[in-house]
Amino acid sequence: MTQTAARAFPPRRFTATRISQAIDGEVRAPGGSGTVEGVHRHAVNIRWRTGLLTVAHESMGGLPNGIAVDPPIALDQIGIVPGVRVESDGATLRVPAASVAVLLVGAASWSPTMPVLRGLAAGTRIERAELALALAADQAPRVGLGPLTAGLAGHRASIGSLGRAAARSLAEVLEALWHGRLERAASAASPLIGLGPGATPSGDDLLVGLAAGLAVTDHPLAGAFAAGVARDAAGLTTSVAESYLHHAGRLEFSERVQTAALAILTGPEAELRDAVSAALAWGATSGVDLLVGLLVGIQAGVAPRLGERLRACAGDGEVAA
Amino acid sequence: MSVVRQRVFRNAYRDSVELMRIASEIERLPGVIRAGLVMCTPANLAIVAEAGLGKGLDPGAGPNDMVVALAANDEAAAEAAFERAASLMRGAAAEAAGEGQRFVPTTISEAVAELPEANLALISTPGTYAAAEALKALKRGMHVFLFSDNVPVEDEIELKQLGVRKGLLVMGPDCGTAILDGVPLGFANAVRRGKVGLVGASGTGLQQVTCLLDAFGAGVSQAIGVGGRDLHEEVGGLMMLAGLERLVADQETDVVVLISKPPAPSVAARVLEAASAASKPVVVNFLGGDAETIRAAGAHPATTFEEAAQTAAGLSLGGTPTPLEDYAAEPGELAAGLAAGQERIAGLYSGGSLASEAKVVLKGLLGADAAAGQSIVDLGDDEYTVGRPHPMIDPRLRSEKIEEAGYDPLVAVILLDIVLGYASHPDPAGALIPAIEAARSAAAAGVRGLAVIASVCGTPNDPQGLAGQRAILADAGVHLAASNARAARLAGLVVQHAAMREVHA
Repeated sequence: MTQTAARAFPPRRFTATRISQAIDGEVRAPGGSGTVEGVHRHAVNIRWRTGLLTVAHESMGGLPNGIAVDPPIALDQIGIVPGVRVESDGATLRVPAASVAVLLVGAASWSPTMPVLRGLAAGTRIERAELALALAADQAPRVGLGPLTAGLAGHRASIGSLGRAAARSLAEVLEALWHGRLERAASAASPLIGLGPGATPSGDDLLVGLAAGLAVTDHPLAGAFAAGVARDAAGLTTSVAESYLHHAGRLEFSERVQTAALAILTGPEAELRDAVSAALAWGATSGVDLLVGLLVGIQAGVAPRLGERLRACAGDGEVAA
Repeated sequence: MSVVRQRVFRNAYRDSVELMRIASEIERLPGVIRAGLVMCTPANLAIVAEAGLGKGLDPGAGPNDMVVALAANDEAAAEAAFERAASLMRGAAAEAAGEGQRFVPTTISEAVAELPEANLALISTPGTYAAAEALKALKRGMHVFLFSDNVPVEDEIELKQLGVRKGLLVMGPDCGTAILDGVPLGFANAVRRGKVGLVGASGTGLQQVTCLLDAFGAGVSQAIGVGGRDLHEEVGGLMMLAGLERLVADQETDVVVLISKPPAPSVAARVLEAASAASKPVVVNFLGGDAETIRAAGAHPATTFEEAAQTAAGLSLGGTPTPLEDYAAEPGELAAGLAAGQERIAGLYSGGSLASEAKVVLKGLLGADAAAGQSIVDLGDDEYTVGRPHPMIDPRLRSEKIEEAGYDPLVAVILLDIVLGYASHPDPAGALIPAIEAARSAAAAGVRGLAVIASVCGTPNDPQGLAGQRAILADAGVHLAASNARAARLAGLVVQHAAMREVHA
C-alpha cells in the first residue's frame, strides 16, 4: 500500500507559513512522529503524541492545532492515506509513504488565544448579536443548526429535533452560568457532545462557538466552563471535534472564529455582514453551528430574553415571532 | 415484518452534507423504510436507539466510526441497502485517496499549483463568480475561456480591456466553443488541422464552419470563440480584433474567417479596417450583413456559414474544394402530402447561431414578411434553459416541442439542427426519433402530412459519428441537407410550394 502510494504520486514539497503557538514546540521538536488519521481536500489530521495536529491550506486560516501550508494543492489527491507515518526532524515534517515534505523553517508563530474585549456595553452585545442572528436566519442552510437561527431571530420556524436539543441545553447552560453554577453548566452542555452528523458533530461546533463567545466577552466562567466541557468530551466524540474542544478548553480558537467574533462585536456593519456570510460558508454545517454558539455566548448574562427564546425553541419547535 | 440492521464503517469521516446525501439515497431504495448515517458518538447512538434503529448495534463502535442504521421490509432489502451504502462510501473514499481519480481543482490557485505551466483557464462557474475567477486567471498571465453566461457586460469590458493590455485572450463570456492548437474546448468538433484560422462571436456558427471546412477537405489552425457580445458597441470587438491580429501573425494560418451576427456599425468599421490591413485573405460572415461593405474593405463576404467555409477552403487549398454531399430532396415531393393550411416552418434549434442563419436564409428566400411568419426558435436561449441543461446535452425539451408541432395544423415542416462533437449528447439524432415519430402520428391522425428536415453539424471523427447519426435520421424518414443553410432553404421551398399549390387550387 505504502509502495503503491509512493510510486503513483510525485514528491510534493510544501512550505509552512504559520504554526499555532499551541503546538509549535512539539511539532518543531526533533524526533517527533505521528500517524495520519484523516485526509481531506484542504486538511490532513495527524495523531501526534500530544494530541491531534492539522496540516491545512493557508486559505483555512490559523487553526488552534494547525500548521498552515502553501501551495494549495488538494491534499486528498497526493497519496496521503490514513494510517501512514509522519515524522519531524524539527525543520521538516515528512510523510515518507507519500513523498510529501512540509518545510517548517521560517513559518511564523501564530497565537490561537482569543482576544478579550473588556467593558463592552450589554446593549451593544445584544444589538450586534441580534443583527447577526437576523442575517444568519436569512442565509443559513437548512441543515445542522441552520433552522435554529430562524427561531432565535424570532421568526416562525420549524426547528427540528437537533435544534430543539441544542436549544434545551443552551437554555440550561445560560441559566446555570447566570447563577454561577459551573458544574451544572457543564452537565447541561454534555448532551451536546458528539451530537449530530459530520466529522465535527453539530453539538461540538456549537460548544466551541459558545466558549468563544464567552471568552471574547470576558465572561468570568469562560475558562472553567470550556475546560470542563473539554474534559467531559474525552472519548465521547470524534477525534477532530475532541481536539477543537480541547483547545477551546484553553480558550484557543481558530483564526476564523476569532475574526468573526471581533467583527460581530466591534466591526462596522458591513464587516459584521461579511463575517456572518463567511461563517455560514465554513464546511458543511460547522459554520452555522459555530455561529449559533458564538452569538449565544456573547449575549450570556446580559440578555434575559435569549433564555426565553431558547426555551421556546426547545419546546414544540414551532416558534412564533 | 420489518427488520432493523446496522453496519459500522471504521474510522470513516464524512461531512454532514455527504452523510445526509447518502442517507437520502439509501432511503429511496426499494424496501427501505428509514435510514440514518451518523458518527458513533454516544449522543448520536442514543438518537439512533430512540429512533428504533439501534437494536443489535455492534457495542465496539466508537466515536470515530460511522454507522449506517436502517429499517427495511426484509433482509434482502437491508443487504441491498448496505451494499449500496458501501459502494457510495467506497466511491467517496477512493476519491479522498486520489485512487483512479483525475485531479479536479476547485480554485484557480489549486489548478495553478497543480499545473504551473498552464497558460489558459477554462472557467465554467455560475455567472456571479465567473468574472472574479477570470480576473484572477488574467492576473496570473493566463488566457481565459469563459464558458459561463450571465456575466454583466461591464465585467466583460473590464476583463477584455485587461486582456488587451496584457496581450491575453478573453474568450467569452458565454463562449461555447474554441479549438486552440488542436485542443477542443467546450462544444467543439473533431476537425482536421489545417491552415484556416477563425474568430467567431457565434458558438454553433464556428462549429458549422469548422465542420464544413472539414467536409470541403480543408482544416483548422485555430478557432477562437469570443462570446456573442464582443461586437456590441460597448465591448467594441476587442477580442475579435485581438484574435484577428494573432491569426494574421500566426505562421500556421493562411486564411482568416471572421463570424458574427451583424455587429454594431462602428465596431464593424473597426473590424473591417483591421481586415483590410491584414496580410492574409480574410473571409467575413456577418450574418445578414452588407456584402458590398465587406467587399469594399478588400475582404471576402459570405452570406451563410457554408459560403464562408467554401470560400475559405478554396483560398486555403488553392482550388475548388471537395463538393458537399447532395441529398437532393425535391421540395415539391415533400409538399405533396401536406393538407390545406399547412404553410408554417417550426424551426426547433439547439444552436442559436444556426437558428439565426435559418432566419437569414428564409428572409432571402421568402421575403421579410413571409419569413417573419415562420417560427424559428433557439431552444438554447436563456429563456428555455433556466434550471435545465442546454438542448445540445439534454434533448427532452426539444422532443416535447417536436411532438407539439405535430399537433399544430399549420405546421408543414419541422426544421432541426443536430449538433455533434465533444460535450454534446452521445446520440442526439437517436434521442429525437421517438418525438419525430410521435409528431408524424399526430399529424397523420389529423389527416395531414409532415416534412421533417435536418442538417447534422459534425465530422466523421466526432464521438457520435457523422454517418451513423445521418443514417438514424434517414431511416426515420428525415430529409437531410448537407448544411444548415441548405436545410433552411429546403424548408422554405417546401412552404413556398405549399402556398403556391393553394393559390392555384
